[in-house]
Amino acid sequence: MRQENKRRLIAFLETIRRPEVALDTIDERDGLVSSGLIDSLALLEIITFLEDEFGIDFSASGVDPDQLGSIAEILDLVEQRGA
Amino acid sequence: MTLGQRYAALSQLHEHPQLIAVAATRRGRALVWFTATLLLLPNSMVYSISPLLALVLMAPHWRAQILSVGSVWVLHRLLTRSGAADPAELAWLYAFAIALLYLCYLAARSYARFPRLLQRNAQIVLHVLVVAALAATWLVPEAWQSGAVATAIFGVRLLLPYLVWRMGYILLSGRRGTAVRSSFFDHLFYSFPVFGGTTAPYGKGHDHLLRHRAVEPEALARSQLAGIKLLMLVWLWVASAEGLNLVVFGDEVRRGGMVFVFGGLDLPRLGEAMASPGGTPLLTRWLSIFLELIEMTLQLAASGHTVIGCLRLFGFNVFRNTYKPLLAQSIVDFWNRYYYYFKELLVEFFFFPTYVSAFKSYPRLRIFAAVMVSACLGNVYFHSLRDVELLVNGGLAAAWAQVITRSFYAFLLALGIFVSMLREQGRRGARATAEKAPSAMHALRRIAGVWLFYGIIRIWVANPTELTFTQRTAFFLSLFGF
Repeated sequence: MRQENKRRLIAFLETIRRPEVALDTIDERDGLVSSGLIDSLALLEIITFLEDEFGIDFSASGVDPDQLGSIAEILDLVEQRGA
Repeated sequence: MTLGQRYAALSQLHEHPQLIAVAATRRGRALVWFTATLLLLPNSMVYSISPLLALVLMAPHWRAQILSVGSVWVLHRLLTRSGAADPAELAWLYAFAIALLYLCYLAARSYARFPRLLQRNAQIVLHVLVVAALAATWLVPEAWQSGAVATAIFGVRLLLPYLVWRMGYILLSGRRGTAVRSSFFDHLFYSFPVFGGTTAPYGKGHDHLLRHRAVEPEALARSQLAGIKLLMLVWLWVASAEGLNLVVFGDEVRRGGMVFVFGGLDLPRLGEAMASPGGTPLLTRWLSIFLELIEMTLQLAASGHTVIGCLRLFGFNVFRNTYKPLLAQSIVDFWNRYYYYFKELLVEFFFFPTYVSAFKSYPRLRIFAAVMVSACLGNVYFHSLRDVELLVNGGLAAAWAQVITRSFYAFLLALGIFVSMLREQGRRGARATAEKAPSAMHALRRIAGVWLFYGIIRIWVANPTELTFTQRTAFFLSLFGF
């Protein structure tokens, strides 16, 4: 399941990443913003993606930007709170 | 080694493996302490930071407790500088401040046991209570304002606006479930931070600090070297700001008992130009806008680097508050780089809660609402709460004038951020890869556009506060010959 979630997440990140940074240059634990892959604004699009694709309701739990820091952390969040 | 390589080595000194290895040794730690003390010497913070840093270097696992000792000193200074002098009154105020934080900490630990409605709206409840308590202090008849009542009023007006956002971060730890694993000291030390800061908490709260806490000796050494680098930059930005004062504004600069006078260009600051637009040439009026932006950025960078530099010395390797905003190529990027921890406060307490709960089916409206609630309403609310005593004591007309000018500024800011966010969304993704990289001239044009936007909107918030909305707007129109 985690592998499938990762595949969907990576396919999505490919659509919002910065043009000058390739996705395969970063590790699963690297910070998405600090590695330069995405800008902090793209977090909004990740939130929308997680709501739509995995049914996570952030209005109940709130958003913790640190939980969206890396691919691994996003996958952990999906496992904890996905529908 | 070329000049470029030398610069790269110096600017990345905190990543140099040999330096990190040295800084992690006993002698290296002593050298870190000595260098930090030397760099902080012109700042009165050196008297509190230097001894506490020595203790943290000896016992890094006890840093929350060690920094909490500093917090008691910060609280004492806050109270005495605000006029509290009587020992009994001070004792009550210490007790009030600590009890307030402790109650908040207990609430955060018990968060999961709150009714669902309270869990979802804990921040709103906190702010309703704070605003109600502040309002109550102005409703107390003057005849009653003596003794314990006067002390309580003093405490509420001084401490609540200062602590409210810190208490908000404590409650966020409760919501995220991290408060149950924390001690009271973990929250006390950033509530009255010995490393400095403003009403906006630099380093945010417990969760963020915990995430960036260096534990291993190597990580601690890296964090401390990064702190030293920031303290070195403080010297550079302070010197640049004083150079600007001396050469451009013709101010006197006092250093080490000496007075430097240059005369130089003797240009007016934005506030002076706004006070008499007729007496200021058009070119000078335009120059004053950009000089104000540069001066504010230098001052903010110097003060923010001092705070974050100290936090990093204590082993919390958090982001800088200001990171090259004058090189930002979009309005939203500047906003992210200029005053990071204020922006984060608005994002965490206003933007995200709005974004995840309103207009989910309308993507653009969703962003617009979240930006307006955070950058506009949240911004005005933050400053009104911070300056509540000045606003109330200044009278209704003066308060209204200040709120109107701040609101207009915040509205323009939010509008600019919203438009910039939409434009940046279009520049992302794999499709954008195919686009060719912008030329240097294109990048310069974008930077100039960002300077123009922020320079112009500062007209409505630049000092002095006595300038009315009409005066500021008249100055803006005068830039275009009206």
